[in-house]
Parts: sequence; structure tokens; C-alpha cells
Amino acid sequence: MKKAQENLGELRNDIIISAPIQLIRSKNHEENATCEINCDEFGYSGCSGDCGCDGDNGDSNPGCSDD
Amino acid sequence: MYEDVMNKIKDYFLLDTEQPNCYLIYAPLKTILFATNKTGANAFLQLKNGNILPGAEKILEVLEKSKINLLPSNFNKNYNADITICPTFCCQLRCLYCFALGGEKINDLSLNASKAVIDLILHRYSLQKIQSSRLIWHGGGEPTLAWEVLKKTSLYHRQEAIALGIKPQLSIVSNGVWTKEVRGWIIDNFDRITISCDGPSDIQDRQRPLSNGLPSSHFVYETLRAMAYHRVNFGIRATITENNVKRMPEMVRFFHKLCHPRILQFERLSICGRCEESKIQTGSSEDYIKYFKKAFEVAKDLDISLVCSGVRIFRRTNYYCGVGGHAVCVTPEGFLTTCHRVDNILHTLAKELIFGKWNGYQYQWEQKQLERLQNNLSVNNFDRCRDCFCKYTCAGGCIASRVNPVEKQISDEHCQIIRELSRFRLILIAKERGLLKDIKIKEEVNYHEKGTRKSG
Repeated sequence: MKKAQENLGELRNDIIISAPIQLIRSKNHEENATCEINCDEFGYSGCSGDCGCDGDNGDSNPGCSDD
Repeated sequence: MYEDVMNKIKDYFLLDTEQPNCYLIYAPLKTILFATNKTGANAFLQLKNGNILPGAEKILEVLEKSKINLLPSNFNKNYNADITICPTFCCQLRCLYCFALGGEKINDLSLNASKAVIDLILHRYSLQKIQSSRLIWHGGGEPTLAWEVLKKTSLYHRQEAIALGIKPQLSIVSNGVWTKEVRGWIIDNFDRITISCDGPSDIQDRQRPLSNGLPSSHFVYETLRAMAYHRVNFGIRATITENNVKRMPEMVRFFHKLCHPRILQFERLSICGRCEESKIQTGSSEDYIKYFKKAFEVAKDLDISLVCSGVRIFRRTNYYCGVGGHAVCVTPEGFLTTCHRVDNILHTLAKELIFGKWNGYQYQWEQKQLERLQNNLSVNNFDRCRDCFCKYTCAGGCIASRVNPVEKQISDEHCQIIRELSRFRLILIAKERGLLKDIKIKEEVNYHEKGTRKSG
């Protein structure tokens, strides 16, 4: 029992995690060169403006592959 | 407590980075990403299976107590006054894969029907304040061939939107085969232009020939050069087939040299429409993944964003596209549909997606049908997506492709592509932001501390 608890304690110590990052673009990132993550999806496929940016630019149907 | 944890953790996912002792934990709804070691990964998997091991609270803490600002939870409740008009089936090209068999039908939308759909969309929501209204011209055929309808309706939309205090925006998706007059007017008046072009002339001319079989490339390149010269907000969409799947990196360099685009969209061929006659094929999904990754790196070095639909790691959504009751599109025959591919009553999805029609005087349409779509087509209803880490970014893929028996297998391959390219993008970001390095450093510190403890 004691051995098992020691192992579990070791397990706790052995878990390593990094600091988290957020996958989000800053507001109005088109104009903002210091966008938190160098946004490479602005514009066209997929951006629906959910993050507060200006949204897609040209989608007939945001997300659709035909645009 | 237990149920609470289990409920929360179902939307957290573990990703292999293919680097020793390095894994990613990804929470798409919170748009959070962090790395962990193998022990952490195992504890996380145990947690998913309902076993809360010592140390697992560290992982939960990051996910639950992060100071990161969360985004609003109602991320799909956007009221908009956007409208897509497909004004004609006419086309100068005979693309080998055209979904609408463009050029084989001659129907055009009348100016009255075109203006009426502007009125419909601008007054669709009477209670909500609409900020902007985007009018998008799209095919079916080539929209600029319905020139008078396009020009007059665009001006009408601008005038009516401004009168209502709504910001008008104008976009077009076109084949780029334009006269001088068309080019000049579009450059002067459009906010956003997407040109379909498949790359170097040997590919473009083979896959997208003129209706008489002659090459189309020089017309399209002239348009693209003009876009660059006038610094227009434009992008290029290319269809990736067996002919060019291995040439994606070359295509990026080609477009860069031709017109310095900021955004390129490389979409895998969808087997429908004229593909049956032309027998054109997709190429393997493995090749698509391999060469897209290479092309992505080339594009990054050239400061170009290379994208494809479904791979959108910054987005959260319950719907792949506007088909779930959010898009309003009018076809050349005056049908209102939520998917421009479903443009006739014989289509398998016509009953579900066509929700109205122009009767010569006005549009008759069913709001309840749109509400049904919003309920039915949410990714939360798709069993196949339940445990997928792309659930809230891809949100289920193209519905029109899924119901096409020919595309069934391709649709499964599409999932493989989306998952692999999404993982690729997340790993790249983790590397760029130092997450993987962080794990290695902490691992070394841990190792030395253990050694010290043991020897002490």
C-alpha cells in the first residue's frame, strides 16, 4: 500500500505541462501587425468573425470550399 | 464533481506531436493549447476514461483556471444580411470538374428578382441591428456574364444598405476571364475578389479550358496581374486534382511570381458535376497532405497564407459552412438555397436546402425550414464527429459531398486530410510558441532534481 502511494506521488511529480497559449487572433487583426498569433487564416476560408475580427472577406458561404 | 469533470473533459483532446515525450492537449472551445510529457498524456487519457490519477488536477487546473479570457459562448448566433447571388449558368469556360455544368444551361436571374432578393435580405431581421451586408456574386456559371444584372444590383444594394444605416460590402468569386470594362469596374467597386485559377498554364489550360477548348490562362493571368497592380484585396482559389497534387509547392511559387497574392486557397477536387464526363480524379489523400504541408512552408516563407476549408484552428463553430440555415443564396432560376451547389429541384438535397422561390413577383420562402436546418446540421448531431478534435473547427465537412454516393469515400478521406493538416498547424504553432521546448527544459530540470533527491 505504501509502495503504491509512493508510486502515485511520483506520478504526480512526473507530470510536466507547459504554459498554455490561446489560439485566437486579436481584434481587427488585419490592421494589427502585432496579432498574438501570426494569423494565417484571415480572409477567406473559415473566418466567420467569431473572434471579433472583421470576418471573412469573400465567402459566399463562410467555410465552403467553393469560394 | 466527477460528472462535472467528465462533462468538461469530453471536449479536450490529446494530440501526438511525433516528438519523443511531447504531446499536446487541445481545448478547441476554449481555444487553448498546451504541451505535456508522456506521463501527463497518460494521466489525461485516464482522465478521459474516468480515472482521476494524482497529478491530473494539474491538467484540469490549466484548462479550468486559466486566466485566459474566454470567448462568448453564443458563437453561432450571428444575424447578418449577407446574400449570395448566382445570376447565370452561362460560362466561357468548361472546367473539367464544374459542379454546376456551367455553360450547358442558359438560365439567367432577372433584374427584378435580383433586386427583390436585396430587399428581402436587408429587411430580413427587423428587430436586430445589422451592422453590414455583404453581397457576393458567385457561379454556377460566370457571374460577370450577367453584367447588367450584376452592375445594377450591386449599385442598388449599396444605395439601399446605406439608406438603412448598414455598411455595404461587395465580393465576387469569378473565373477571371474579363473584358477591360468589366475589369475596370470590378477593381473600382469591389471590396474583395476571389479568382479561380489552377496554377501554371499547362494545368490551368488542361483543367479550365475555354468553351472552344482553347487555353484560358493568359486571360486569367492578365486579370491577376491587374489585381496586383491596383493593390486590390484579392485571393486565388485553386482546385487540386491528380494533375497538380504534387505541384502545390510549385504553384505557390508560381502565383507569388505572377501577382503576389496574400492568400491562396488550395481545395481538393470534389467529384461531382462534370467530373462524371471528364473522369478527372482527386489524386491520393496522402499526396494531398504531404504536398500541402510542403506548400504551406513555401508559402510561409513568402508571407502568403495558404489555406483549405475545414482546417481553421482559430475558429469555433457548430457548422461547416452556411448550409445550416445561415447562408442565403439565390440561383439563376430564382431558387433560394443555403448551398449554391444545390441549385435545382432534382438535387438529392433540394427538399432540405432549397427553402424558397421567386414566383415572378416576390420570393416565397420558409423561415421554419431554415430553423430546422440550424437544428439538424449542427455538429453536435453528427455521431461521426463526436470524438474528433476538429469537431468545433471543421464541424462536419461539406453536406453536399456527404450525400453524394461517389464522394462517400472521398468524404472519409477529407476527414483524414482535415485532421492531419489541423494537427500539423497546431504542432507548428506549439513549436513557434515554445511549448515543446518548454517540456524538454522542464523534463531536464525534473531529471536532475530526481537525481539530486536520490543521491541526497
